Amino acid sequence: MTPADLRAQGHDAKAIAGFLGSEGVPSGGRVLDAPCGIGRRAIGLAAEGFHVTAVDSNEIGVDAARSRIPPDLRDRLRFLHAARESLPGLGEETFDAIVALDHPIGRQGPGEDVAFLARLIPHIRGDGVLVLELLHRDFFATRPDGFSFHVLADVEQHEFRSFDPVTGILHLTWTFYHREGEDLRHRGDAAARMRLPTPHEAASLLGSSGWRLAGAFGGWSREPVSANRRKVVLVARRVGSTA
Amino acid sequence: MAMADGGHWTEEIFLRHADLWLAVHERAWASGEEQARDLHAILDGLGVPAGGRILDAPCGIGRHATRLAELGYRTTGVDLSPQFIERARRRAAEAGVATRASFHVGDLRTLPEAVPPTERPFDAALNLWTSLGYYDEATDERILRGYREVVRPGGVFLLYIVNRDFIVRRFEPHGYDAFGEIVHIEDRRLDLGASRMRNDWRFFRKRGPDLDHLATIRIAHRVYSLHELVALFARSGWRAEAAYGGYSRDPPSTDSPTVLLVGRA
Repeated sequence: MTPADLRAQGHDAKAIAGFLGSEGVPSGGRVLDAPCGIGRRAIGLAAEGFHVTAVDSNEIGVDAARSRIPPDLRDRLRFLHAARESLPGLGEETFDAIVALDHPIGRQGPGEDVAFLARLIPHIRGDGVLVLELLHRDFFATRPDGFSFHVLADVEQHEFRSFDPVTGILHLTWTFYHREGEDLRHRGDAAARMRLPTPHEAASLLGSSGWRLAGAFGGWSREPVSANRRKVVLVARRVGSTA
Repeated sequence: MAMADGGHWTEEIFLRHADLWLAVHERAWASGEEQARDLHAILDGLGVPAGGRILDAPCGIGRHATRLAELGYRTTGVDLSPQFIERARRRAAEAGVATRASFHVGDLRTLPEAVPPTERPFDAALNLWTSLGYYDEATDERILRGYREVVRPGGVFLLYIVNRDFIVRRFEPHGYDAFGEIVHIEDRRLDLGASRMRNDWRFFRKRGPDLDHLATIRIAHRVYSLHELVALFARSGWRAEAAYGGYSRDPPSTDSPTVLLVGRA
């Protein structure tokens, strides 16, 4: 069980599918999911009828995802590995939509983020859509220190966060416990550190990599962006596209 | 709200698991010093200088009552928990103020019964650290009347309590606290229909990296907006004279986690 596993429980695949539909990519469309982590959303989107290619730089995660593809989804879901610096590492394939979820940027510098976003450009069909799901800086700036816990089956995850408004860096640390009755048995720890851009900084990163911001939402139901929502969903289209 | 065993959650936390809450009080002890100095300044400004008689209810282990006694007041503390009262008496003795700080076991709902006639009337009464809203609103009104009954005409009442409007604006569904070997995890829900926080409190003891479960207590307490408190004061014989965001006497706002409301008898 990894943090990404617990964060993205896949339960929102239906909502993401609805969101893609409202952006002109209904069920049946071709979707690239990069980076896909251990593939919960990719599996969920395939279950919603999309043809999904999912790519990640973590080989173990990709292998685990591949082994969990339900038999009835095999004809429309594939998992591929690509090195982080070449993600998504595909040939000349194009997609109707690209989804980049769970804050895929901000681990390195803005240069790397721009390079990653630019590498996605050749893989979008003319008027296709890029959907970028980010942690929302304003949410964490207004709640710089905090705690939350999540339970999935018999695993309880404790998340401690601290946000530095000067650097814009969010530190997340996780402790994983196995629930035995009401006792919690320690199973492991993990941590992540990422820079959170404001939505307009994210728009600027997109602009520098050949994308044009086409919409910003507070969630998959197209809620307005708000400091009270943990995430922001940005929609971008290729510069020059008419959609 | 009744627990499965028939007891109110206040009895669960303050009586049955008093040892856990005692640890919370012990950790908060140090903060009482500065808060008592602020309270002294506030009381002084309201015409209750050192030497006056103060009721602090509920007093916990006396972190304010003991300090106010050190600052020259004669203080009476009342709390539901015999364990807290015992600790408060010991703390006051250690501080050398046992003759000026007395402590009694008692229930806020029958507050006048808990206070010996020789120690009243009071010049001021204190209800601090969000110690109202544990029962229904009629009971809260009755509790405030109880303070009124034991405070002299012209005396004051200070209520320091969580600010509902802050909670609404900056709601945090989860909370974590660790003190000594105890870990306290809160799962919070704000019931807007009733303006009640409904929280599941889980307590654990650290054992190596593991957490051994000690208790789970479901609490429900009414959270009030300032205007509701003002109305509650009026219904129970108190005239709201001033309102602050906290001990430092900033103006109250939706950015204030707490409100400090001053009532005049």
